[in-house]
Order: sequence, then C-alpha cells, then structure tokens
Amino acid sequence: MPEPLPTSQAGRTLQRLLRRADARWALLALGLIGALALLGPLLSPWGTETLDWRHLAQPPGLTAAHWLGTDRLGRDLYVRTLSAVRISLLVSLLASALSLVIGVGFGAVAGFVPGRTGVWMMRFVDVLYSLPYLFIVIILTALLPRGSLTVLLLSLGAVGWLTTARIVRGETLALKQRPFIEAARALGVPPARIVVRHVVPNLLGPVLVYATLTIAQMILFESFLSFLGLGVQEPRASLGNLIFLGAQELESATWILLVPAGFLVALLLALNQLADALRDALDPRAA
Amino acid sequence: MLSYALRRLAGLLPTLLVILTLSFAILRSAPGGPFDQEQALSPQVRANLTRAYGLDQPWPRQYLHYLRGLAHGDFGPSLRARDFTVRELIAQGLPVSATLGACAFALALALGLPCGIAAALHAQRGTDRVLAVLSALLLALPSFVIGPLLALLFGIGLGWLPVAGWQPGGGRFLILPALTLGLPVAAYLARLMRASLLETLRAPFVRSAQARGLGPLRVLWRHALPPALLPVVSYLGPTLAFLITGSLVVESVFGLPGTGRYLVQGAIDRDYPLVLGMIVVYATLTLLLNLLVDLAYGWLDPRVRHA
Amino acid sequence: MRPEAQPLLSLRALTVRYPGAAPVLHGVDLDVQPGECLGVVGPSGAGKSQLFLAALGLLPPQAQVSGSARYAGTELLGLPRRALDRLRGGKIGLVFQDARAALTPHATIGAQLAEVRRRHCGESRALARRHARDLLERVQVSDAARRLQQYPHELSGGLCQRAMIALALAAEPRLLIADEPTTALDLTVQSQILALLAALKEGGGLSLVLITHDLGSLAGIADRVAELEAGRQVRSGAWRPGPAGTPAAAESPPAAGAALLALQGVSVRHRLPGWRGPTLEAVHGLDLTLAAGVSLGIVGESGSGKSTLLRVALALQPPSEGRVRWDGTDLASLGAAALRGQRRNRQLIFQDPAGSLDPRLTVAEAVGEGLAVHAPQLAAAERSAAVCAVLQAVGLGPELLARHPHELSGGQCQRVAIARALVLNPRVLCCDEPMSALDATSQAQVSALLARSQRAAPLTLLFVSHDLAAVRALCHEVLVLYLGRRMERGPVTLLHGAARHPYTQELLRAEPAADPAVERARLAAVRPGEMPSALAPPSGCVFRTRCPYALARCAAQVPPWESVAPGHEIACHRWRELPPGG
Repeated sequence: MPEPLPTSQAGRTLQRLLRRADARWALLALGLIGALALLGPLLSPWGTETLDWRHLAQPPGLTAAHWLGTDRLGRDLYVRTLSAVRISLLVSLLASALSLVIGVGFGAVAGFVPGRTGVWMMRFVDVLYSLPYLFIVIILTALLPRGSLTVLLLSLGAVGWLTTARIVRGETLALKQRPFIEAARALGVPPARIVVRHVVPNLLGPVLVYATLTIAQMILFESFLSFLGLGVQEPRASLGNLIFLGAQELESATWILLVPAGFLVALLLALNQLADALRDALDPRAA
Repeated sequence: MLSYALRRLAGLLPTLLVILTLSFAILRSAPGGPFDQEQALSPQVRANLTRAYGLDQPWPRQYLHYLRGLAHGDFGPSLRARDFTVRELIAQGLPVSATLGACAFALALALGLPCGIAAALHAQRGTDRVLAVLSALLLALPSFVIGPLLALLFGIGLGWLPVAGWQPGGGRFLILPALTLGLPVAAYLARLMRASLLETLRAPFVRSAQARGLGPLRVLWRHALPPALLPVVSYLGPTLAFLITGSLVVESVFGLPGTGRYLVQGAIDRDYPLVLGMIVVYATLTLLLNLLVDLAYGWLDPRVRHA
Repeated sequence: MRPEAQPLLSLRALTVRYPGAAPVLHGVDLDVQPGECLGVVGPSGAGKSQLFLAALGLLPPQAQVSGSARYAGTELLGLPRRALDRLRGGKIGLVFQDARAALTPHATIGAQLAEVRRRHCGESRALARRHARDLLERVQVSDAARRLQQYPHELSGGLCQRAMIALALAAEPRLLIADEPTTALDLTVQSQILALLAALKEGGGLSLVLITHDLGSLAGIADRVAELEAGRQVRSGAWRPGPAGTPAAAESPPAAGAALLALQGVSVRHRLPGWRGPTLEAVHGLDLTLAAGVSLGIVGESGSGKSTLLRVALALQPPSEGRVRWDGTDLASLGAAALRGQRRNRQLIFQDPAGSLDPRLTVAEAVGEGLAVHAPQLAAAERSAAVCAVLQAVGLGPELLARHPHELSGGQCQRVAIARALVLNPRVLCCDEPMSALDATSQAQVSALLARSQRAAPLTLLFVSHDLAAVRALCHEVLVLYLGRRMERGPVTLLHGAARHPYTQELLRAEPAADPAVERARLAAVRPGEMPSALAPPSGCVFRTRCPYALARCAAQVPPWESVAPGHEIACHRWRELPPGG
C-alpha cells in the first residue's frame, strides 16, 4: 500500500520540524559545529598547548599562520576553541543525560504514585529549589577537589535534575487525567505496562523539548563555572576559561574574546531555536 | 486574605530551617577548614583560633549556637575577614547589589513587557519577527559575554561610560552592569509575555469582549492582560531575588563591591558564617517573593483567591 | 423582496477562506428580517459560526472575507473599527457557546454588565450598576444583587449563559445572535434558556439568530430555518422536523438472570482541594442491582452522580462506604492482580471517543491490547484475526488497522473504543454518555451498533446518558438519580408516560417536542430551578427545592424507597397522590 504521509507521530513531528526554516538552520549549525569540534583540530598543524613564540596575540586571518589568531601566550585559538567546544559538548551532554535520567525517573514516579508520597517528593525538590540554584553548583565545585571533569559533571547533573523532575511530574499528572489512561485501567492493564506503554511514550515529546534546552543550560553552566575558575582548569581549554582570558585582553586583542564567545553564542542560539521549533512541531494544535 | 498571608508567612520558618540545616550539613561535610590556607599561622595560633570560634565543638552544638545567634539577628563573625562580622559585610555589599538588581529589574520590566505585548499584538508580522530575533540573540548571550562586549562598545570604543569601578552615588557606573544583568531578563520576559498574551488573545472571553464592542485598548487592558500576566508574575518573584542578591559575574566584570563574590569566595575559604548568612538572605528573599507572587495570583485570578 | 421590509441583517455572497486551504464558506446569502427568529443549522464544520463571526469582523486576522454583510443598510465588511465597535454590542448582541469560557474570568458579572452600559449608553458608574441589576432580573436570574458580585466560576452553566445573554442585551440591541447557546447544558436548563430567548423575542421586537447543530431544539422558536452544509446553504424555509431519528425501542428483556453486579449502600465522597477543603458527596447511600440480560439506563442532570456511580461499579474508584459485588464476590476483597484479571467482564465506553484512545497507538494496537493482557497465550496471528473480526463486527474495515486516532472521525474513534471493549467478550458494557460528543449520523450508527451487540452476545448495558431517546432505544430499565440519590427506578415504560416521580416528569418535560405548536406551549410552561450544590444538599427530599408539589413534610423527612408496582420503586412522599405522566 502506498503511504503518502508518515502515519507515526514521530514521523509527522519530524516532517513538521523540517518544514521550518529556523529548525533547518539550527540543525545545520549544530551539525557543523559538532563536525568541526570532532574533526577540525586535525586540519591544523598546531596543538592545543603548543606555544608559538613568534606569533603572540596574533589577529585572525585566513592567510595567517593561525586562522583564528593566537592568545597572549601564542596558543592557536582555532585549535583551542574547537577543543573547548568538544569539552563543553562532552560535559554538557553527559550532565544533561544524568539530570534527565534522575529527573524523569523522579518526576514520573512522583507524578504516578497516588497519595501523599508524590507531594512529599516534590516538597523535597521545592526546598532544594529555594536554595540558590547556581550557588549549589558553586559550593559543590568549590568544596570538592577542583579541576576534575567528573566532579564538574556530577555537580551539574545534580542540580539540573530538579527542573526536569518538576516538568515531568506536571506532565505526568496531566497525563493521568486523560481518559485513555483510565481506559487502560478499565481494560485491566497492569500499572507497570501502563507506565511503559502509555505514560512514557506520551512524555517523550515534552521531555525531548526540555532535553534540548537542558543541553543549552548545561553548556552555559559549564562555561560559567569555567569562567569563574571553578570548572575546567588551565591549560585545558573550555569556552568559559577562554572567554575569561579574552575578557582580560579586551582593550588590546578583542578576537581572543570574540572567537570563543562566537562559538558559545552560536551553540546556545541553535539549541534554543531547535527547542522552540520542536515545541511548535509537537504542539497538537499545529496543523 | 490577611490571615492567609500570615499563615503562609509562619509556614516559611520551617522551610527556612530545613534549607539552613541542609546548607550547614553540605558546608561542614566538605574537607578542609577556614584556616588551612593561612600558612603564616603556627599550629598553636590555629588551635587558639579554632577554639575561639567554637569550631572545636561538636557540630550540633555549633549549629544550635548559630541558630541562637540568628534568632537575635546575629549572623556571627567572618572567619576570614576577621575584623568584620558577617552582618557588617552584608551591610556593605547588599546596598550596591540591591541597587544594581533593582535597576536591572526596572529595565527588564520597562523593556520586556511592552516588547512582549507589542510582539503578541503583531504576531507573525514585522515587529514580532524583529523582536523574536533580538530576544533569541539576547538569550544566547550569557552575562560574561554581554558584559565585556558592552564594556568594549560603550566604554572602550565610544568612551561614553566607565568600563569598571564604583563610586557611591555614581549612577554612571551602574548603567553598563544594569544593562548586562537586565537585558537577558528583558528578553525572557518579552518571550513569556508574548506567548502568554497570544494564548489569552485566543481565549473565548476575549472574542466575546470584542463582540461587545468594547474597543481594542479596553479589551487588551481589562480583559486579556490580567490573565496573561500570571506566568509572568510567577517568573518575576524568584528572578527579583536573584537580581537583588547580586550577580557574581556582573560584579566581577565591572568591579562592583557587591555581595556576589561573598558566596563563592566564602565557600572556597570555608568561611561558614558568611556562606550561611548569604543563604539566609537569599532564601528569605526568595520565599518572601514567592509568597508575594501567590498573593498576586489571587488578585489576578479570582479562581485561586484564598479564603 | 418587499419594499417595506428592509432586512435587519443581509449577507450576500459571503465567502471565508484561510490561506492555503479550501474556502470555509462559499458565497452564502442570508437575510434576517426585523422581529423574526432565524435558525441556522448544520453539522459541525459546516461554517455556521464562521458566517456571523465573519460579518462582525471577529475572525482571526488571517481569515479572508469577501462578499457583503449589511446591517440596516450599513456595510459591515471594511467598516472602520470604531464604527464597527458601536454596532457590535450596541446594535447587535452576540451570545457564545460555553458561556463560562466566554465570560471574562477575573471580573464580576456586575462589572462586566456595567462596562457595556457605560461604553454604549454613556452612563455613569452608579447608573450602570443599577441597570446591571435590572438586566439580570430581565433574564430571570433570581437573587440578582448577589450574582452581580460573583465571578463566572462561581456560577452554574445555566446562570453563566443567562449572564451572557444579559451582557448581549445590555445595550438594548435590535439583533441577538446566539451561537449554540444551549449546547453542553442539561436538557432542563436548555429548555429554560430557549424559553427565555422565546420570551425576549416576543416581548421586545428583538430579532434572533439561533445557530445550532440540533434542528429539534428550534421547533418552538424559529420562524425560518437556513441549513448549511460544508459552507453552502442547502435549504431555507419554515421549520420542519429532520429525518425521523427515533430508533426502535429495545426488545423486551430475556428472563432476568442472576444479579451480575450489586452495589450496597455505596457512598462516594471527595475532599475538595484547599486548606480544610469541604467534602463533596457525589453518591449517597446507593443500592443497585444489575441482572444479567437486563440493560439499565441511568439518567439525571449533570452533577447527579451518574459517572461516579459508573466508576465505582467498574472498580476504578473505591467507594467511601458500602460494597460492590460482582457475581457475589466483594470486589474490595480481591487483590490487585485478581481484580485486574476479572476486569475483562466489565468494559467501559467513554464520552470523549478520541481522548479515550492513546494517540500513539494504532487501531490494531489499541484493540489488541486487552487481548495481550488477558489472553497472552494467543499467537500474534490469532490475536490479529480476533482484532479484524471485532473491527468488522463494529463496521470498520481492515484498512483502518494501521491508523492512529487523529486520522479517524469521532464516530470511527467511538467504534474503535467499542471494538476494544467487545474483543474481550465482556458481560457488562458500561457506557458513559457514549453518543453526546458525536454528530447526529454517528449517534444513530453507534446506537444501532450497541443495540446489535446487545443482541448478538449476552451483553448487559449499564448506560449513562442524558439523552432519553437513546435510553428508550437501548435499555430495559431506568434509574433516575438526583444529587447522588435514587429518585425512581422502573421499567423503561417510565419514559413513556408511566413516571411517578416529579423529577422524572421534569426530565421528560425538558425533551423538545417535534410539533412546533406543542413545543411552543412546552417552552411557555418551562419552570425555573437548577440542581443545588452537592456541597449543601437540601434536607429531607433533596428534590423538594424544585418540586412543584413540595410540602413541609418533604423538608423534614427523607422519603422512603417504596414499591409502586413490581419492578417499579420510588422515593417520594407524595407519589400516591400525584398523577403519572411526563
């Protein structure tokens, strides 16, 4: 039988997503940045920590020895920025995954178990929430041994799950009110099967949107912490500590700030835009 | 209404206590102590200091002692800036941070709300498109990027405003930091306002108000806007608390003597009373503002009005 | 056209289209004469509402409207906003479907009424307030002074609709356009609203346009009817009844079998949210037995506890008090797994067919799920054969197997839901208003399908509906509920004139008549009154506040449950003195 339209929900969502110009741009930008981060450093003769004494604070230029210039110590900004993007992406993807797993699990359980248990579970989240959000990360990274990526990852994930849990609980509660969940109960479908077959698949949409936003949040947090000197440590490069160095050289060598800042802004912009487009594509009111 | 507010106010105390206990536990379970980094101190002096500040006592006793002081408005001494009490430190920094935060907040409101309303009224047309691009850009510009960029443009490039520094009463020093802090909030507010107003403009009661010939302005102000403000208001509460207690990045980029650095530096230095003091200030503010948000909800929406 | 009668509203070649789609309305011509009531009918999606919204400039900005719409000679299309706003609300009042959503939620009724008076009549605040009260009294709202201070969410659906009508009338317009003003209201309240509209029209030279999907409701009020279908006018003229929709009555029941389902002293209470929230009693001390083969219809207005009763009978909700027995077994004594295992005996059909299907499952998956749970031993081929067979039985072809709910019509969705229930060979099928969300054609199909299933299998229906015609067609017995309590139970002849309880008779009187003269008389005799809040039920007989025969005794004592005749029971102090009827 010929099928002119994808009948599955995922297929239709993807189709609606790709119909939007901003979504196509965002996906293209993300793909490009990702590919550059993986393969880009191979194209350059310079290493991340090579000091080129002949070219200190060199401005960018396509014909210059350093395409995107060098910093005050003569390190190649093209290679350093791309390796920073790689670290930022790695840390933020892992931290997002961590916070999503904890958050979705906690939120779905808190939403689905009947009675006071769910309410108390959310009270716990609320208390953690009224602690200054960023302050927790700062305290954790400040208290634990500094410079370890694992610590950075854990503390980012440990805070990120709070919002996920709230969103997922809200969605689960709303889902529980829908008649098809009641219909499954009336059919005699066991609770575990209801969660796996009816609740979780219907949560995927909102979680997907939120996951995209979480990755952007995590990239932002990671570079924020590294900017403060609490995250990735020199000589390893991260977007945050590159921007920190750039801000120091603002008056003499603006490109040291602008190159990593450009990559950071492009990443955040593309992820935010993608999340927006995804939300619209998943909206049942969309035609 | 008043009794409801008082009841809620009393309910804040236990929450605050839980937050404090949690923070105390996290702080004290970390390795290291306040005097570890001062190599000049002889072991004898260090032991004397430890005793003088009561740090040799068991934790529960230290905690109770701290709480007793707090009940009398005493935040304790700073363990690093040993000539100052935590209260004095906060009293020095908070006015600067709060002024900056209030300016940023006012800016965000003055810019974000009208832009959001305009975008919703012109949805999918020119104004809306331009504002969407602008707000997306601002939201992707973290304060540690936008701050240096603004300093570069207005401070170094155009030379209109001071790049950094602070003099009491110097409003000029606040403009760039307030922009840095306020612009992303304005962008987020504008998006929130737009989405929420678009939603209410589609509501049946708005169309029915139009059908009664009430006129576009009255329909917007009296019928569409109040419900559309609900999500905006609930975002504003915690945001104001965050802005007032000081942004570390903005204060360090622009060299402002606010409270932003207390928390991080306090945590690194293991200056327990300073960190706890900041958490008390922040959490109290957050909880109070959230309470205000709840009360404002009742005012905007009679369905959640409290008996 | 007669020269002396310039139409009040005149639509010519009105066309509405949205970018990138076929037109919603294709050149419709329509006139509304002064003082007449025009009914506009058509199935959902025919463009009835769009027609008048387009004329009044109330469609979203992307809508493209062409043609002409004149009010008393003034062209409305392209009229400047200021002039248009003087007409809207001032000369033409609009009443919308779902009045509670169409009233501004954060303003009191009084403030909204005064707003219109001040705007269109230029009155002072104090004068507008005084007139607001008069307006509420004009739409027969009792206790008007208190209602003025209330917000829409504090009012019942019927009161909201009256307030909405008062708002539309506030500036003394000459034309009132009401878009599905009675949809989603109980029949009793529907009659009240229709009676009010009829009285307004008779009283003050007001022209009326009534937009509805329910041709029957227009019999007593419309002077002329225009029928729309797929954006085109298909007929116009005097009201005449639609194609006979009354299906055959249910066959007489087989010899009553053993009691399948028995509820004993069941009460259901909900704590309302909030600090020390009040307790609402949805069902109060109810006894009920359902015998095998004898289908039971449960009727009553919304808020009478019908749906809660179904949920308890299906063990989807435990009763706060009392027992539910299935085949003699107390359901509360069963463990979770045992309870799930025997759920296949009692299946449920929902009011909202699309909502009761998981949007992510195909038809095959949805219908097959029950088998996967209750008959896991079946091979995949056997299961899909069973699914195909049951789909065929409900009149759906195998080409739908791979479809998702959003690709089906409402009627198809409901048939999939019925197939999902029937594939398990249940003994009782509980239906919660299964037809009320469907259009007339699908209603008839689903009704016929249920009747067929009932005959084909030994299937007993527990049928909750406010649609008495459907109950007559499908059920052998009727139970009448009011505020969670039984009022009367008996054979279905109750609905054919044998009713003794004043409430049952009230429900029967709320049914529109097919003869315009009869219907007109019926509307003229409609009595006010709405169900009180279940939070504060009246003492004694709960119906006494609306009962025309209530005595002091009715307030003092709860009437006993007495037998009128074998199989006919009633809770009324005065049933012996009152005539049967309806």
